[in-house]
Amino acid sequence: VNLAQAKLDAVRDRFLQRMKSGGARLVEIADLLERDGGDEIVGELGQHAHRLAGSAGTFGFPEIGLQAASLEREALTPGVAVDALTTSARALAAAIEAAE
Amino acid sequence: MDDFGLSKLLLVEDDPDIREIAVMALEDIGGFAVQACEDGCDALVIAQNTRPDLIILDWMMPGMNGGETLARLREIDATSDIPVVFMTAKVRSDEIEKMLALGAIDVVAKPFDPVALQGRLRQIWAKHLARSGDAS
Repeated sequence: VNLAQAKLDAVRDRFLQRMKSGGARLVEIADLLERDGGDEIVGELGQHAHRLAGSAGTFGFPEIGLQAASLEREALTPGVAVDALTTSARALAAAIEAAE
Repeated sequence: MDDFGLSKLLLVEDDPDIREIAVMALEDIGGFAVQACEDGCDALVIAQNTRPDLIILDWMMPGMNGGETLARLREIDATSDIPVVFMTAKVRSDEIEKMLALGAIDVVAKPFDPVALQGRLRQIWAKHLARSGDAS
């Protein structure tokens, strides 16, 4: 089990690095959304949030998972305000940046 | 450990991170033989060829979702009786009821504890066997 735990820890570390790269993309998406708007960008934001919502908790980041699930729900809400979405996306990106 | 016929698993999960950690946990901690794929189409082929003891199926997947995949598995003779467990973040009571009504034997909630996953599946399997025994 110790060897298995060491392997799981290594997978978790790799996930953390990928999640941090994804956090940078979240900021880019928020910038794009602010500048251009559009359903396609909202859709990309929702997909990004969905993936994190389903995975972050499993890798030991439950708060980020919950924050991502909340962002996903916002992105799926018809007529959601761009300001609210970009604020939530940047807050999630900040939480990811702080994760260790 | 006697798992009463539970040794070969098929995991169907589109998220590569979840797939990787679940396979690792089920093989290294659980001692199962696990095959994994990323979508329902591949799952249909693999399930027919390998006849796993249990299929663990994500619900939200691009293309054919988990519910559609389960329906197709049930239509194919070689896979119609393979027990299916959904692994999903959709765990409101109405969502779980819908999955059970489709024929899943249980639902594992995401996020999950990788170390505890094998124990959860063994628990589900034991309940399934007990129910099957009651029914026969």
